[in-house]
Amino acid sequence: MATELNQPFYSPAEVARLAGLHPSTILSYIHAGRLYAVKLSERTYRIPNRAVRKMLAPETVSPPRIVEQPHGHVDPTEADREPEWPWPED
Amino acid sequence: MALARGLTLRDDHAFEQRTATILAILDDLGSPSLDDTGKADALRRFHVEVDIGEAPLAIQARFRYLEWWSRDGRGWRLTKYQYDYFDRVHRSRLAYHRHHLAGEPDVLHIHCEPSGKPPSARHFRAYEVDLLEAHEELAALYVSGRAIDCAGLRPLRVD
Repeated sequence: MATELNQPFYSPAEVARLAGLHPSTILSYIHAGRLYAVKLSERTYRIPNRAVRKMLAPETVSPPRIVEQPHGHVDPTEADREPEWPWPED
Repeated sequence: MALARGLTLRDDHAFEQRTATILAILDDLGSPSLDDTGKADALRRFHVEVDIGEAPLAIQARFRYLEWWSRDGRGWRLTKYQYDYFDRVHRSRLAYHRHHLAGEPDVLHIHCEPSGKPPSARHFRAYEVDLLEAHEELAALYVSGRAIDCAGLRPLRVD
């Protein structure tokens, strides 16, 4: 299953096919908040790859990385500087 | 220039609840990383970001959200933010910011850098947004596959 999940996002119909469910079931999952989807228009949803993986292949999904420093130094002027483009090698 | 009121959270519990909500939403797009610095101090930096595209997909975009909070009694007040969407495929960027700009404090503005152009210092007028409001718009833009379009934005007179 994990090897099939190679698209950045999916339509409800595609998720239904992958899951062996009816498309209306996937839509009900979306409306119930059980499956995350971005609504592009009244009838158009797109489900990100990760949300599909969480549903169909959760063992392939890594958890969030959380770092907390209760007393770490915060530079208040950092906010006034523009961020760098993340991929300078491009 | 537009000045902002600032979001406030009444106590640490409210802050933690908001954090959990943000992580849950971002976790459906990619694997988020959170750096939360200063929760026991008067100044707090909240940095969460998520890259879109896990193996075997190459990274296609990054949602990078930073906030700076000041202690306000038992709670927190949002003073500055940077909500950035980097579209690697189109090499473009759309961002909602609130920070000091050209000698003015807490200026709300948008950065809009369409495809093919280098990062620019141009700023556009903006309204105050919450992180999740910005994310909803930016996530929809990413999922739609559309390139960033600055049409309709009004330049901010600081450049």
